[in-house]
Amino acid sequence: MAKTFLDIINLVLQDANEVQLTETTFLSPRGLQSFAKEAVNRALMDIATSTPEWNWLKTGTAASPNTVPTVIGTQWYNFKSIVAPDTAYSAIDFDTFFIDNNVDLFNNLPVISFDEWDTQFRERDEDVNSVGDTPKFVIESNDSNLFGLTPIPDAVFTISFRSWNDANVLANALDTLPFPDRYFNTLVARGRYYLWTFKENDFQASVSDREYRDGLNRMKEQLTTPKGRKMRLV
Amino acid sequence: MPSKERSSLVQLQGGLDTISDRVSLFQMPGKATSMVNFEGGIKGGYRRISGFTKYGTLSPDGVGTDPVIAARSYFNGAVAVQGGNVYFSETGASWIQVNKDTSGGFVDAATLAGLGALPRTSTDLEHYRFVEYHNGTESELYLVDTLGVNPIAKFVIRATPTLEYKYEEAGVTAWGTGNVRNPTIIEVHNERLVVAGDPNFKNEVHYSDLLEPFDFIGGGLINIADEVVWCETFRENLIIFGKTLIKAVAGLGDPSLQNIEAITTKIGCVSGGSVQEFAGGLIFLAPDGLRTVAATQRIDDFELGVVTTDIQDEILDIIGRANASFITSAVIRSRNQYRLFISDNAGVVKGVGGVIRGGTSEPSGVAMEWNLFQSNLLYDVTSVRDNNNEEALFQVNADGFVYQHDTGNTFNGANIVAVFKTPEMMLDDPNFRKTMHYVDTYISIEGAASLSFQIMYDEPFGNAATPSVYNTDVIAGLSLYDVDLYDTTATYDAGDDIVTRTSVQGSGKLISFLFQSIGASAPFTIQALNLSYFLNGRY
Repeated sequence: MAKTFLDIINLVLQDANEVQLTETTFLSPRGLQSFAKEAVNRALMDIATSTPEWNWLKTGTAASPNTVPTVIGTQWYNFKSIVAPDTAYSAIDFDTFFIDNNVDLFNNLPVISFDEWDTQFRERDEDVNSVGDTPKFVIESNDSNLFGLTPIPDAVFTISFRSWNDANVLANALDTLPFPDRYFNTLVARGRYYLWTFKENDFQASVSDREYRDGLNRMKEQLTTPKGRKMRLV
Repeated sequence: MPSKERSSLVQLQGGLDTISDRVSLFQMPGKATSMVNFEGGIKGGYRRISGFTKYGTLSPDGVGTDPVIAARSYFNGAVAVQGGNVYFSETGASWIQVNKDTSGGFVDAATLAGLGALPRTSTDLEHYRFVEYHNGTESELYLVDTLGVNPIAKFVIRATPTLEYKYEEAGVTAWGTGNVRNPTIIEVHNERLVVAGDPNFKNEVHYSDLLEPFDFIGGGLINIADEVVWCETFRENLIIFGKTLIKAVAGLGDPSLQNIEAITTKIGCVSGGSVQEFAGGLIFLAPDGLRTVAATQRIDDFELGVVTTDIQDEILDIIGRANASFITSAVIRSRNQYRLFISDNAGVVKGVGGVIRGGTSEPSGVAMEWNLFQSNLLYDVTSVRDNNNEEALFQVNADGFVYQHDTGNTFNGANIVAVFKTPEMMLDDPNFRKTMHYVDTYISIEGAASLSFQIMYDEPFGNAATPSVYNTDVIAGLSLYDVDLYDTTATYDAGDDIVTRTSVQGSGKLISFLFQSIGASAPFTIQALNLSYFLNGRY
């Protein structure tokens, strides 16, 4: 049975020998129990932000990453508008941009900085006589909310890229963990760390922190983008 | 550094305290801020009270329609009043009616059954008061009703060798023509019967002739300028309790020695039913609480002291109800305990019990631990020593039966709901959070006992979660030495003092415990708590 928000809170409380919550008391916890509820979400955010490439936060699927059709004559595209207006990408892998004309073209689009585009390609792209072409580069905008294409598309292409979502805080008692259950102990350890810190027990907080870091390392090994095989000489 | 585990041993003592503020109680963690149907234990701690048990299975009149309004130990059994008749039973298995016209002589049971009755006027609202007077051969039982509608009755049993009975009432012969009184108060003092409280002569105290309990013509009369509510012998004095004063009569009946002295003209007695000789003095319900009339080192001097300061609000509540209710009391000497009950026609409204504790700085000179009684359907209670010099406690519940008070594990089959709550404990420092680890409960059991407790954290702050109720395991019944057999020959004793350890959860800055017993548990005494905890930070 999948671990729930309530399960994790209660494990944290149990480890600190505190009164556990029920589905009823979860709705209006008081004092330490309220803090424990918050501590678990803080722990989840610590894990989620410890690396930008958790596979459990990856958007789309391996076979079907984020895609956006280009609009003829439109250079800049908003990440958030690609899938849904409210979707916020926490991380974009600019090494994974591809262009596909759906017929005979499927190329990687190297990334260039905004400054590089500004100095080398902007004049061409904004020339009133420019009619566009097949994009050769993807531009990272200054505010990271947009990506640009240069040259400006002269036809409808499909741009694809990989990205990772922000983690959502857990809200309801029966919300399940966003990552595989077998790593729940890392989340518990981090939550416990906050609880012991709250209780001013530095020793227990330190033990919990060490446990959390060990668990986090294991998670990173197993739940981030797979690494390539090591090269061997024989 | 790891947080070091600490422990705190809390000895439960001091009883109910509804007056002290929570900061004062930090220094007295063994007291109780709520204590219902637990009482101070004779060996310390707090004891779940005993219940009451039906005395036999039969109603005295064999019908049970009329309520039994009084019962008291007498001879080797009990006397009961029901439906205007007086009954006696040796064991409760069968009853005989004794208010028969025995014409001044003793008759056996068979003869008694055939005699005509001397019925007494009876209502469901009255109570009875009793006193025994030993005439050198037999102990005579005198009884009066509290409404003053019947003459004094005398009931005597003698064993020669079968039981014989005599019943009389004090009429004109005892009082003289035109002087008959129907008293509501009765006492024996200086070998005289002392009576008072006739509804039409409320300020009169009559005493009989010396060694002639039924001769008031040869006795005398004392008038006080107040309504007499009780008379009680205290050492060489007869103490007369009025509504607004208390007087001491020395040398009663001796013209050369008799002297009436006012102990106080400022404080009276709210209810005569509250008066008992207890703790070396007389305890009575005054308008401001239970007080004692105690003798001092000085001759002819008395000291009045309030002994219910700890439960002042509870006792004032009782006093406020006194006019519309009946107050009765008893002393359980085997426990050094005084019990006072206030009952209305629907049963007991409230009761308080107090146990004497040694060593005190109380102004009264008496330190007492108090508790409350509830759910006990008591209408009246009596406590005396029987023929075997054993304490005999009887109660009536305004139903058709007689009950033995302070006996058994239940209220005649109904579970006793008992609870006591400790004050908030600060454990080291009220500013720091404490995470509880376990609770050792030191218990003395009297049989198969079950209890549970709940921990409350930071009640004043209202921001802490309360753990679920912790049920201690049912503690097995004792094996008593020389009673229970291990096999067919060996006897053994399992001991009655045990310690239960309960792992508990939760943390807080102020911690209190609520103990309860709600099942058909045998009485037990919780003597102390050993609390194990970790000291945390300020948050």
